[in-house]
Amino acid sequence: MSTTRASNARLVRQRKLNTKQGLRIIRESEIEEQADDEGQRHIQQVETGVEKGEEIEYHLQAVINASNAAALGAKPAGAQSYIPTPEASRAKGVKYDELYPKVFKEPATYIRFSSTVEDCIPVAYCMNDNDAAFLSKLNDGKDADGRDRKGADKLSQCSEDTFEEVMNFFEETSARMQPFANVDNAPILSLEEMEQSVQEDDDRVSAEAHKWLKPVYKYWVLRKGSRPLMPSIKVRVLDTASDADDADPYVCFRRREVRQTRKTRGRDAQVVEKLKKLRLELEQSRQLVQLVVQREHLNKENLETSRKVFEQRKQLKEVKISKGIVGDKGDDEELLVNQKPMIKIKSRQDTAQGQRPATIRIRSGGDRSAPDNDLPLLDDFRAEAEQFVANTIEARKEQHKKWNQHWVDETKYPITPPLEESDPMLKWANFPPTGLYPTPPPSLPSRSSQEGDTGDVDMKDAPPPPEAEADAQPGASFDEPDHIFHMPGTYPPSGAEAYDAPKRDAHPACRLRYGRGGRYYLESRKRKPRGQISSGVVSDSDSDDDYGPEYFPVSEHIIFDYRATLNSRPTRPEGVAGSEPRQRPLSSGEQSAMAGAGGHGHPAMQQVAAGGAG
Amino acid sequence: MAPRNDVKDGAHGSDEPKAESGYATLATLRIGVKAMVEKDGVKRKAEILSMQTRKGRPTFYVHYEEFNKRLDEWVAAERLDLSQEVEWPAPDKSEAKSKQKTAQSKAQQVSKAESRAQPSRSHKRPRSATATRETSETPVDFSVKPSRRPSQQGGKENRDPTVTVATEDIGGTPQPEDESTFDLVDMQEASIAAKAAPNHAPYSREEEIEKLRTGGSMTQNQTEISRVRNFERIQMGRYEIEPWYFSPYPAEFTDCDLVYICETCLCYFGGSTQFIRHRKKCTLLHPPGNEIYRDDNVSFFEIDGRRQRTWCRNLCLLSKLFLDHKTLYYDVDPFLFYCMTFRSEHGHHLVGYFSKEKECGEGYNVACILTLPQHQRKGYGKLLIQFSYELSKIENKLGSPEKPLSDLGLLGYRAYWQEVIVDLLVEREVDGAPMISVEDLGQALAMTTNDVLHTLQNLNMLRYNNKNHVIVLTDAAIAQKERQKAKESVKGRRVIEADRMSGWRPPVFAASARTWNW
Repeated sequence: MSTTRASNARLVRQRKLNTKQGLRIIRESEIEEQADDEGQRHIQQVETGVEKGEEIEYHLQAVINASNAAALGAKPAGAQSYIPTPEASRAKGVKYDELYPKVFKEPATYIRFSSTVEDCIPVAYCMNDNDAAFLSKLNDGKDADGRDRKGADKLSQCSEDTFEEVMNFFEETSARMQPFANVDNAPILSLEEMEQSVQEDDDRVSAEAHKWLKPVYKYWVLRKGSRPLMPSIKVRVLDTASDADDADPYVCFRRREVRQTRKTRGRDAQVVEKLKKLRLELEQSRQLVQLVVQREHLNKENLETSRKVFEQRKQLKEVKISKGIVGDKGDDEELLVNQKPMIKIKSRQDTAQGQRPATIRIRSGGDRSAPDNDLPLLDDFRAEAEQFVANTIEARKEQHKKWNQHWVDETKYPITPPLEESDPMLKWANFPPTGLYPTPPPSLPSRSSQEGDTGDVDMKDAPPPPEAEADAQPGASFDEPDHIFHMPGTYPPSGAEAYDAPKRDAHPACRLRYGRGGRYYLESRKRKPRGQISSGVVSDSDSDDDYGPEYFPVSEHIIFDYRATLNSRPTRPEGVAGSEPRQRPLSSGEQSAMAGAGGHGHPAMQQVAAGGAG
Repeated sequence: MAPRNDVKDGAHGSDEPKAESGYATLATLRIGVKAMVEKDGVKRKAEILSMQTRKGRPTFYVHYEEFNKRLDEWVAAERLDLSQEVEWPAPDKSEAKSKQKTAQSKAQQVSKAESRAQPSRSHKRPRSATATRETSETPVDFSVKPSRRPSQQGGKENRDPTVTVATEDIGGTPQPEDESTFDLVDMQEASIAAKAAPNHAPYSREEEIEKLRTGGSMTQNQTEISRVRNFERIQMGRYEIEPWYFSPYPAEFTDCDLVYICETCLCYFGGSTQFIRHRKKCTLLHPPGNEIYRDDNVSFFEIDGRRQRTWCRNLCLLSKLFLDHKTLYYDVDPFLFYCMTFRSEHGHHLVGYFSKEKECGEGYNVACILTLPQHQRKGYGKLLIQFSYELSKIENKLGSPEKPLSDLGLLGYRAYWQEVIVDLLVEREVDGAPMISVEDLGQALAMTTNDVLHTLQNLNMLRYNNKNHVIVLTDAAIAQKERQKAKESVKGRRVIEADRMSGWRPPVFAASARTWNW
């Protein structure tokens, strides 16, 4: 035998099989008989993947041998060999239809389902025979140990469901409160502890079950051992490193340790990014909390101050009483409490300070929060207010005359600005009313006067050339809010002053007046001669440096184009506009007029205005 | 049987201590003794794994040599043939020789005591069915006892002389010629190399647990291999089933004659009252996951072990009753469970399942696979296997079942592989393109190259003709195909219709879901 093998090996030294190479599929009849045919007469012993120890098992071998024989062309021997397995048969006496009712309706689509077993079984505890016996006793009015239960009549019958719920509650509570009871032999929870647990969380037990806690508890204690009543698999509870339970075949489903992920630069970077983000977010939340704390401190301070105010007033009241000063009816009450009527008084005070009634509406919101003035004399204020109003009106009249004395309105076809155009006006109207605000905006010569804060009365030179405006556009959009929220009393950056000063020296030939409702008026100087400009201006942006602007006659359609661009570009760059008003040489008359108007200028002017009024 | 063992012992040489043999009485029998036991009218050598006194009469839990453990059983004393000599268990090496005699008498008492506290002591018992078998077959392993297991895979094992001897002894069929083996070994090594063969060296228990921990594998835990079955019978749905192996259900159930298992939620109950009460409350009508396939016969549900921990644990406990090489050492989180059901007005009835690692380093597409015993031999196994390959096709991967396979698993897979490969070859032949490479076969069927080779070789279809390798559609294979066809024409053909699961996408898991801790 060995010699044959050796010769065969020499004869047909097979090439290695290339698994990538296509192999011809042929039938057995197509094989050319070969000398080494004998060598192909048996099945290669291939790796089965079955444990060696089991591979040799009798029944498996029988089957394998049979199939090998078949593969080699032997006729299958009568009975097919198979691997015997223990019995699995229909159970007798199973009331299957009762246990598994026919309730299933097959849905048209594939089932999607995510509830867990626990979700599907409301109460895990199931009664056994002992429980059933006890329950029937209980419902007969007997106790766990067979004695008559006191007050049994009061309770109705305990249903199986309720009983299970109660038992389940005991089991769950004790498992929750004493998770290691089987290890450390903890004492069984008392009924009081159970009751306490019910109170902690009302949802645990239904009202019905709650009634039965006490009667069932005794029974539960009798049955209770260290292990749960419903047998459960042993899972390693303590996450110890000890191998104590390693050999215990009943311990199963241990948790696995986390698989170490490979450390790479990319992952490191990711982690760093995450940490940074986390840190940032934590910082932000910390700040939020801090701000909340700050707010609450302020609130507290506010409360304390209010209280102080109240007490002071109380004192004042006592002083008044002791001194026998009698005020108006209800005066004392008003002194003590900041009541709603107080607001009315406040508004009256405002009026007294020289407001036109029309502005009160705008103001009132702000005034409510304004600090209370103590003991104002209403009549004085009223008189003052009226006086002030009259004065203001007069001053205004004068002022308008002065503005307009050299100007003539050349606007041919006034264009009502588009809707957006009115926005700045509205915003302007809502301007923080902290200071005094004597008038609704008079005809504003330009937007620049809003932006500047020398006063609400201002004039503006010829509009800047469109190119300049175009150049400045990008900055404009973001500059605007600055002015809208610009607080009175602050100054625009003074650095700009020196630079722009020369421009101011020129006497403009025309002005764009910014009228009510956002209308523009193009006005020309009355005495400015000779029609250098009659219908409009276009100036080079470079010519800004020149003292005398050059004027060129332009055709009408260009003027309209220009005006259209004005409308569509409501904002002007700050660099130019913001500084303009300050540099404009004001005549002293104008100055005083402004002061008289008491516009939203800087505080000094306000004072002047107020003083004048007073 | 006995002579065969003698031969083996002889072959293994003198380093194996000869098993002590002698006559025994009922009273001197103890755990580890091998005696002749009558099984189906034939006397077989069997090892006593446990002893109990039932109704005043001693009974013995025996494992028949060379029979699968699922045939282990309790036998009455009458079935033991004490007229023949018995083999006494070999003494442990750790035990000093001098202690041996006293140990023998002591062991008797110990074993009696032990037999009452059966479940708790089983781990202490070093003598186990497998361990014993190992020692008799691979003598090198003897000193290390149960912490070793024989290496299971790899071409090199084929050249192991002791193994060759063993297979020749047992098979009684012509053994492979050395020279052909040589070439096939080459082939196998080539294909194994492509698959990154795992380390086949025998490893210790610690290493094994480590492997379980890091590898995500679900098979094989040495300590659980050799357990005495803990359940006598279970009732599930309409059926009563005898468990095959030990499963770590709560120890309280060991005393129960019948354990009730709810067919839908797979919860377990020791008494019928409890079970009936449970059925009144249980609202589950189908496995708690998403249905991903439905045809006229069966449905498949995909269940995430992490999301349905209780159900999947219950399923694992149940399947452990029928799978020897399954470990429940670690939790079910890293697995997906594909459960096959059939429908009725009662709901979905579980037929079988296979589990699959969410992320498998070795490229396995099945971890454990089981058709419940009450539904076996009806062609469901093939459907399960086919389904696992259909999933692999959608994933665009080649799949293979995790090793080791059980005997039934091997046969099931071989039958499936044979069928699909022969079908494909015939199809190619009819198409008039009778050329195909082994890898193309694998690609078309989502099978690993190794499995294709395995099948072709096993069916003797890979041959050398005219200095070229060819695939031969053997007459036997064609005949088998015809038989199968005839069977299907009578019983109806059951296949997985791939287009019915077109909506399925391989589940993607976030890194946090893939980690295995809770």
